[in-house]
Amino acid sequence: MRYLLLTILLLAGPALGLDGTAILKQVDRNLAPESFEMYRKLVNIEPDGRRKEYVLYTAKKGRDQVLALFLEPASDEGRTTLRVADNMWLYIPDVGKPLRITSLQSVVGGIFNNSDLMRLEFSVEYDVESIQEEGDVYILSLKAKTEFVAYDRLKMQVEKQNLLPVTIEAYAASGLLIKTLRYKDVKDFGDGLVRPGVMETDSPLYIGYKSVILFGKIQKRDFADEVFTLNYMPRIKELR
Amino acid sequence: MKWRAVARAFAALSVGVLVSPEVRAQDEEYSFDVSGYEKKAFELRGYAEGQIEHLQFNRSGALYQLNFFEEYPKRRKSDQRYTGTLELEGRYNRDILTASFRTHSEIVENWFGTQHDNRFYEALLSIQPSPGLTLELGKKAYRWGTGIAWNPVAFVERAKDAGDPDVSREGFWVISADWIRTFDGPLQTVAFTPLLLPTNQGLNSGFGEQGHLNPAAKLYLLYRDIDIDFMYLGEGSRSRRYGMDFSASLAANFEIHGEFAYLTDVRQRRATPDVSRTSDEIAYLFGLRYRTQEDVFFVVEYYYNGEGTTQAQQRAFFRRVHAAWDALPDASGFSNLPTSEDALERGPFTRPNPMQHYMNLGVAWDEPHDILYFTPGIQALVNLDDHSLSLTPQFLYSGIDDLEFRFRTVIPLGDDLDEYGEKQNEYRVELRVRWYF
Repeated sequence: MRYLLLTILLLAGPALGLDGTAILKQVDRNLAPESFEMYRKLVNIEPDGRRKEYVLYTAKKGRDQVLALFLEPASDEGRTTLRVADNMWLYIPDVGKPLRITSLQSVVGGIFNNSDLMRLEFSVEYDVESIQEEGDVYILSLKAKTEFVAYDRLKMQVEKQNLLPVTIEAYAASGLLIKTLRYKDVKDFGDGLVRPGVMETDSPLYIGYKSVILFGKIQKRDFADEVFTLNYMPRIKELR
Repeated sequence: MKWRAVARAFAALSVGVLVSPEVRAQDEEYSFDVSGYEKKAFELRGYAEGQIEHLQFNRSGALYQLNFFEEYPKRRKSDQRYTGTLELEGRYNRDILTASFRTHSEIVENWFGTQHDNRFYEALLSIQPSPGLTLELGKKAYRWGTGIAWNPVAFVERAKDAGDPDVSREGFWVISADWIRTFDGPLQTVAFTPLLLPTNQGLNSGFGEQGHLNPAAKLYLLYRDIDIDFMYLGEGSRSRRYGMDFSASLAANFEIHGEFAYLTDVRQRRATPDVSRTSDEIAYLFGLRYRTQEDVFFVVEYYYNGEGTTQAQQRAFFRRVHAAWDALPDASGFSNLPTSEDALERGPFTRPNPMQHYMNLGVAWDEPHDILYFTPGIQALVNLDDHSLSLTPQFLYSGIDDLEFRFRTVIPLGDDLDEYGEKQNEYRVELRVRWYF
């Protein structure tokens, strides 16, 4: 189905003009099913080579419900973040109650903020302002749909051949480049999902620092809506 | 987890990268083997903590005199307190059944000698027939309310330390249910949590008068992106009370919250123990959290406590303590003072924040100048009735795997007969190291 849509896009593109929104939606679908569970490792690397690693279990349902459970390190184990549309909460077992948090802050420190960890689909958060062709990539200029989105604008390079992102530059409303995301190492996750297995991030605001996400397992799974609620957060461990 | 890294390296060398189940980033050293994170039926985690405190005493303070009058004629300028804490959290899950516990063990050594304390903070059996319904039986620590320093709607929990609000606390034995429904439209979630908190034959003795079932309930709504709770506690060991709270994000970096409680038949006590009366009172809190682009984080909260003492009542109590101190070695003046032994649930005049109007002001800066995992901050708890305050500068560092360091100083500032001027300490310096496993 993905290849059929890709073929239609490529054939129809020159004749009808490129549809950036359709391409963005296909990028979303190529990165993950609409509802899925996922394991990923986040590595923060400091200029002197020191690193800190986090392992997260993530569940997503539909276009705007996502949660993440920290499995490592021990100091963060059991922490849970929940996002429903623009609402975001953090549950810390020792504290014992969910606390509303903002997309700009970071529960892991370093370059990644909560929005990076709890990202919804790009087409849910952004409108396509323009699209250009440059060699073997499309360049999409994206504008945040609401002020709750962490980055006001994105400049996304998308491979024409497989409609997967290559790099994404994230800008503040002031035009300041906040960070650059680089997708690498395309691999087969099974069930027809072929996508990058690694995402590297650097930021001009953190010179010499780098953050990497390794995607270990992504598989389609349906969840009950009740899972994505505040009352369920202390019980998310039972979901796995 | 070095053995895991060794196992991974061995696997990569002997089997080869192409057939390894790991994800490896090309040209880099990091890798991820998902098989090491399969869910286990039984999980155990926890932390061990060591804390060293230097306490410089305020010997003219009423709380120093209350705590140390039995040492008369000895007087201490200062003391060191050493605290070791171990908390274990275990969980066994099979199908719809989950058994979990949290233990708390503490050993404290100070001027008074060595004290031990071992107890279950939580011990719970849960049955979850569906994601939307959970039944629970056991000891559980509830956390009601959206406030950070204070929670006027915390009807079924133990007292909270506004100066260290995230410290884990012991729960109560309860029977409860949790029912969740979600909807499309402006009302997105409804969750209802009824519970019984019986006080019989010594059970839940810390909650209050024995011989009551103590029904309580909380109704949660997520309505138009606003968290709203309604709470109720029935007449029993404590007087009947009603509450509500809310929390909402006005922007990606700006949150507001509030709580309101209506408390029936609150017993007001004066400085003399024989004089008391009851009345209905209210308590409320409004607060906001704001985060700048530079990751500076502000918290502002205003708290009105209708149960609290007035400045005149509080001063009368302090005068009684000073008079009793001046009469030593005759210690009879210290008898019949309205105090109790429980550290946080003490009498109306000696518990933390006993008066009526307070502000909580906090500033923290996450990772200043790119120093990862480092957060300096300062908190001020201000008594708006007598304008005394407590300042707590703090440094937090969590950059070493599984370790967390916290260094802070607590400095009460106030005149004679003011709340913070009458505290036990002139200042307290504290270093805490916590190791998670």
